[in-house]
Formats: sequence, C-alpha cells, structure tokens
Amino acid sequence: MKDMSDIGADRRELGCGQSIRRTALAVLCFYLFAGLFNGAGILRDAEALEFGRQHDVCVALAQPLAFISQHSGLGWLREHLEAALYGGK
Amino acid sequence: MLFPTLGFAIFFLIVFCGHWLLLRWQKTAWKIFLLAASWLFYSFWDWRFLGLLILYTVVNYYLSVASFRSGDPPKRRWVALAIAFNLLLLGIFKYYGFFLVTADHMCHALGVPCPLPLISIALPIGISFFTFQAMSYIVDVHRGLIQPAQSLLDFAIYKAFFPQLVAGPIIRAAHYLPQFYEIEKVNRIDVGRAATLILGGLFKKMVIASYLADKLVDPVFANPGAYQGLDSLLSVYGYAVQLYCDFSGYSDIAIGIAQLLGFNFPENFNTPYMATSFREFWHRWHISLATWLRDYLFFSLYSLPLGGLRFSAARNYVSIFITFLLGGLWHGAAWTFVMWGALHSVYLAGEAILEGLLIRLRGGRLLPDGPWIRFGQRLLVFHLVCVSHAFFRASSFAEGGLILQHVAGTWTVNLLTLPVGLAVVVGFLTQFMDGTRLTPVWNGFNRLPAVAQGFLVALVLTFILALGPQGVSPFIYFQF
Repeated sequence: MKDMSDIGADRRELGCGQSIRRTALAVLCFYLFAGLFNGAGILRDAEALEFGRQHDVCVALAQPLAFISQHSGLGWLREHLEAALYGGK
Repeated sequence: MLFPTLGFAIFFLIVFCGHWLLLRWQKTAWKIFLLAASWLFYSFWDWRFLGLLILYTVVNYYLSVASFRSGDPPKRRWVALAIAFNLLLLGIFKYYGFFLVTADHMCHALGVPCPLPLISIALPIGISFFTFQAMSYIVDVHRGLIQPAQSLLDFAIYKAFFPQLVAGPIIRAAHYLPQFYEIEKVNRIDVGRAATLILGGLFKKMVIASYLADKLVDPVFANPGAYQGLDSLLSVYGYAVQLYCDFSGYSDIAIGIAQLLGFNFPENFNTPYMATSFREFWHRWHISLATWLRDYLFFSLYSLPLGGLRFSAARNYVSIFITFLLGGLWHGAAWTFVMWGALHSVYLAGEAILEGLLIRLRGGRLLPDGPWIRFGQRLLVFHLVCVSHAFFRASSFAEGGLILQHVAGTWTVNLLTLPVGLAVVVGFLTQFMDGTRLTPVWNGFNRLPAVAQGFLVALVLTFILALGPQGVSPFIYFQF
C-alpha cells in the first residue's frame, strides 16, 4: 500500500503559502473578477431564488453587477461559453 | 445554504473579512463572531434545529467536563451517559421511522398490533456527523487523549464550525482544538491548496456529479426495468463516479474554506478507486469516517468478549461485520445501507481469509506482485465496490438487484453519448487531484501576484459555472 503519511500534513510548517494580507487581497480580487465575469449569471441565479428577503437582497446586489458586467464586456466569456455549450441557459 | 451558491458567496466574504479583522483585534469578539456565523449557516437549513445543536453542545460539554474531573468509576458513568444521550437523540431523529416500519412489519407478520406511535420526525441536517464528532470528543477526553475545551464557547465553536458542520469531514477535537487555540499565530495561508481544493470540488460537484445524475444515473435508478445491458452497467459506473465527485467535492470545498480561515484539515479522500485491496480502499474512501469507525467502534468491539470468541481471526471478522453494519446504518435508516455495509464487511473478511489461504498454500511466501497483478486487483476492487454502491443508491433491495441483474441482459445503448462518456472518464480521473499530487500547482499558484491569483480563480470558476447546469442540487451526504 502506498505510503500516505503526507496526507493531512500542514504545509504551512514548511513555509508554504502567503501572508494573510496578500490572501485577503487575492480573495477580494477574486470576488471582483468573478462578479464581473458572471454578473448576468449571478442575477439569473438570484432571480431564481424563492421569493423572500434573501431573494430581494441577492437581486439588489446582483443587478448593478450584471449591468457593469454586460456594459464592460467582461460577461462575454461566460455568455459565449454557454451559447457554445447549450445555446444559452 | 449550499456552498456553490450566491448566498454562500456573500456569507463567506463577510465571514472571511470579519474573521481576520476580529482575530487581530479582540479574541472573544472573534469567537462570538465565528459561533454566530456558524449558527447562522446552520439555521439557514432549518432554524428550529439550531436548538438541537445547542442542546448537543451544552450537554456534551458539561458531561465531558464532569468525566474529566471525576475519578475512575464515576468517570465511566459520565461517558456512558454522554454516549447514551448522543445515541438516543440520533435514534429518535434518524432511526425512529425506520424502526417503526420494521416493528410494524414484524408485528403484522405475528398478527399483533404495533405498540409504537406513528410520528413523522424531520431529519436535522448533519446530525450523523455532529453526533459522531461529539462521541469522539467524549471518548478522547475519557481516554486522556485530549483535555476538554477551555470553555463552553470554545466547544460550541468546535461543534458548529460551519465548513464541516453539515456533511463532514468528521474533524476530531485533537486535530481542531490545538489549531483553534493557536489561530492568532497563523501568519501564512496556503492559498494554492485552498484554491485548488475549492475549484476542484466545485468542478466535481457542479459539472461532473450534477451532469451524471441528470443524464445517466437518475433516469436508470428511477426506472430500472426500462434499461438493459450497457445502459445499466454505465449507470452503475456513473453512480460510482457521481458519488465520489459529489462527496469528495463537498469535502474538498470544506477543507479549502477552512484553509482560508487558517485551519488545516486532512484530506477525506485519496484516489479510492485505485485501491488494490478493500483494506486499502478504506484507507482512501471517506477517511474521517473510516478512521472514526476503526478507532471508536472496531477496536472497542474487538476488545469485547463477543460471546466468548477466543480466536483472534474470528473475533476480527465479527468485529468487522458489526462495524460495517453499523457504518452502513449510519449512512441512512434503510436496509439498502445495511446491505452496503454487509457487503463491505464480507469483502474485507473474504480478502483477509483468501490472503491467508494463498500465503499458506505458497508455504508462507508473500503473494506475487507486479503491474498487471495490481491492475487486476484494482479492477476487481473497483467492480465489487460498484456492486455495493448500486445498493447504496437504490431505494430497495429489489431495485439494486434488478439493475445488477439487467447488466447481464440485452446490450442496448441508449444513454451513452459523448458528453456522458466524457463525464464518466473525467470524473474518474479527478481522483488524481487528491492527496499531495498537485503540490507543484499549489506552489506555483502561491508565487503569483495576488491580483493574478484572484483573476485566475475567477476565470476557472467562470468555466465551471458555464459548464454546470443552472441551480445546484443538494449534496448526496446531506441526507445523512
């Protein structure tokens, strides 16, 4: 049986990884880019939620995101991928 | 609140920022924030069961403290009381209906009325996971392996820590609490590992598992009589891949999220379908449950008299059998899960007997080894696991049996399309992302500038979201 002693080892002890500040910046950049790339899809998912407070909050947050995504052209990738795969969702 | 949803994305952004800001500012405020976030996460499923989680937390904490502070005979009584409490609640919420139906059938067969009242009880999400977690905590405190949590608040956070609350992995206090008490010392985060786990998990769940469920597995299991031959066989393979992608996907996302919050959790899967023996399979599949069953059930059973069994081999097989029957029942209150457990116990016992017999026939020499032999072993183990998974997925013995029986029927091919075949193959290959195989990718990712990291993860996520169907079905293990 293969040696599995490396499973669960904490790589941070080996000095792997990056500072929390840099991680936070990466996470915030991810949210920004993910929102811009997927604005229309996020709005679609938010609108599909059951009516209630969660639905309203999500739609309110997703609407400006979808607007910027569409008008900046950054939603292009997802639109084209979906069109190519499924003819749009 | 499912991980791959907009609601969770907003929740996690708030938790991530609050977690790191409060931790640097005031530790008590951080603890209260983390507990509130975890309870909020749980109450999104059904807020009424939050009371049950709090009850579990309070009772287990005080019983563990009582057990830790008392001498030996009363100590055992506290532990027994805690285990009885946990099993009683699990029994009421998860197994009452199952035992009621079984008792009703038996009473009906005997011609007597069933004495148990008919009550429909909703299953609190994650109850099997947090019950096992609580039991391991109590036993570890009793065995002196860990000290109780320093306060009720600390224990409540351990119990409710949201990444692993509803579907595991079952993180033990011995692993969690030392990290929890030294969390402020964390100054590095392995973002490469976290990002790979989260994206890999999302891909497995949202693309592979969802697609296979929709196009292959669900149609066949919903109507097994209508499919024959290759369709039935493909659905059995498809379910093996779906189950792995669904559950390991959830575990990976949970581990990745915990990593971003500064906690290092061990992997829960490690290329299970490449195991060359069943013993190895259980070192690779749902590792946190397998080790739990081994440490808290199998070893306890093995040390019991078990009806006077003196031979260690027989004692071993009986312990395996009971462990896996209960392990099967842990998954769900149905005879199909018991069957799944029974099959695995037979596989394990059969393998040990056969291995011993072959070694004896070879005059004590070890069994031959080589790439082709290992290939054959992998093939055999994988197919026998697929047989057990068919019962795991089926709603009855008859349904599981029918699907397996139909594999040998007329070889019709209706469900095999290029995307379905590709999903089965790619899903099978995703297991090679397990363990530490992607270390060069993690290290490469960690070296990128933060903006590029965010951009790259968002780009991959966009591909995953575009590939996956709209909406996300719940994870399979949520029902357990």
